Amino acid sequence: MNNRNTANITRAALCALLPALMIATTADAANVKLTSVVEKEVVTTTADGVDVTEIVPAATVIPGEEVIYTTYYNNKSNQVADKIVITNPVPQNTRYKANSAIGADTEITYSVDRGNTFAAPEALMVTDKNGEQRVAWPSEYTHILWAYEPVLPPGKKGNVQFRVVLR
Amino acid sequence: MSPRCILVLLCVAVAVYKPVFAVGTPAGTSIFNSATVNFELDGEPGTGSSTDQFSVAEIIDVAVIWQDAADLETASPDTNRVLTFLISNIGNGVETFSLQVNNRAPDTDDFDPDTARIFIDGNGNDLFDGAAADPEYLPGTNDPLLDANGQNQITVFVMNSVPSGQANGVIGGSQLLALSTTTGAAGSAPGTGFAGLGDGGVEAVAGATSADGNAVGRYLIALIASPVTLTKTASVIANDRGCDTPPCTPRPGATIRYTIEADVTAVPVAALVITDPVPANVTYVANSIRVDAVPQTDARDNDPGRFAADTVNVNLGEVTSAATYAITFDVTID
Repeated sequence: MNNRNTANITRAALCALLPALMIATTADAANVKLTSVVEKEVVTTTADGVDVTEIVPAATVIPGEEVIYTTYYNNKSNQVADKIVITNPVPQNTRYKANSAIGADTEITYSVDRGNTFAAPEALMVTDKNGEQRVAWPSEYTHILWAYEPVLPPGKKGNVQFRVVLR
Repeated sequence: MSPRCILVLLCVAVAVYKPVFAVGTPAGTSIFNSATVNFELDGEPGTGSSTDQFSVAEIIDVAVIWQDAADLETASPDTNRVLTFLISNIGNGVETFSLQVNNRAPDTDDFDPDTARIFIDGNGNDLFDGAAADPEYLPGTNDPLLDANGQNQITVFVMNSVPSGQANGVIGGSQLLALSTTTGAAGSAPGTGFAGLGDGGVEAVAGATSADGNAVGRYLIALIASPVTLTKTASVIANDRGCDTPPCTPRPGATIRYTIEADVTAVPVAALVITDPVPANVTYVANSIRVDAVPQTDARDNDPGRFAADTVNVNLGEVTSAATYAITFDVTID
């Protein structure tokens, strides 16, 4: 799967939606391991009146606040991993913050149809209430997909990240 | 993986959330997310996932809005005059609010209403129907409970008296306050967190309203203007020393002529009667009443003037056009 066109990404996405079948074929625990964290920025003011921003775990969040999702990946096996695709849904009751998805050496695409298809922002179309087609707004994205382009040698790790706002 | 932290040793005071102002996802909701990875190891497909979660905190916000369409017109004094307010829970959880009235607020009004009482709309018609239908508020016993995601509003009535002596056109304000009963929340800086005090034990956070709200309702003094103004003057017109042109020296036996000017400005006036008791130390001169220089008999008869029980009485009946009447009568000094 060396081309990164939409059709192949669709297949990758379908694979991502069938983890139950895939788990059966992966016997060893030493593979590409994921860790997810959700955090938020907190601004504190020092005694001198300087604002300092900290990143802290998001335990409770109020509507309107922004949270940061980071997915860490780590090749814990002793083999080279390739064709790595990471997907994250935009969680319920949140909306994706435009342009916040990042990940070194990845190509990032988005879905507006619950992860069935993924495409670049300008190619994502929705039908509005007048029945007309238009480019989707970031707040309408349902999933984000990072296609890691190089191979991942044993022991190598990295992370991808995106932000949402709690409705 | 531990979170990255940027710490400065002199960090002081309170962590501040960006203030927000909206009803949002209900407090206590758990937001889950699962990330998924697919890959190949030496041609063998593999997958993995990981999950994280956070809870939605309760944001406490309340709005109080005065409902009357215009300043409520009252007399001075006046009693039992009701202002209507709407209290809304604009946070994202269930919250109980205590209520207070401050009649000293605002500082800029002309008078302070008094004897405030609060009533809660019991039958849901937004009108004050009396204490049987709309029970009186007693702090701590019937503090309104409002669910931001359900029944989030309540109408509240504030009943005041208006003090006496207020002039036409002046304004008195009455302020209703609603305060969250979550300990410490009301009046705290927006973004202040209260661990465990939100719905279901999540954190509660004071919203942009500082977990309290208030509004001022206004009374406007609108006195019914008197349609008649009376002006009375007296002049000594004669005495026993030969003076017959005023002003004469007042001495026993001197004659005083009283003139009452009745200025009727707002018509019609249905039954205008002017009375004036004769003062002490003088004696009424019989049949001396005149209305616009027309002599009147003391007896009750067809003319407007009458004298009885030591009182001058002039009955002008119905007055249909604006006019000024001059009523005079004479007395002698005892």
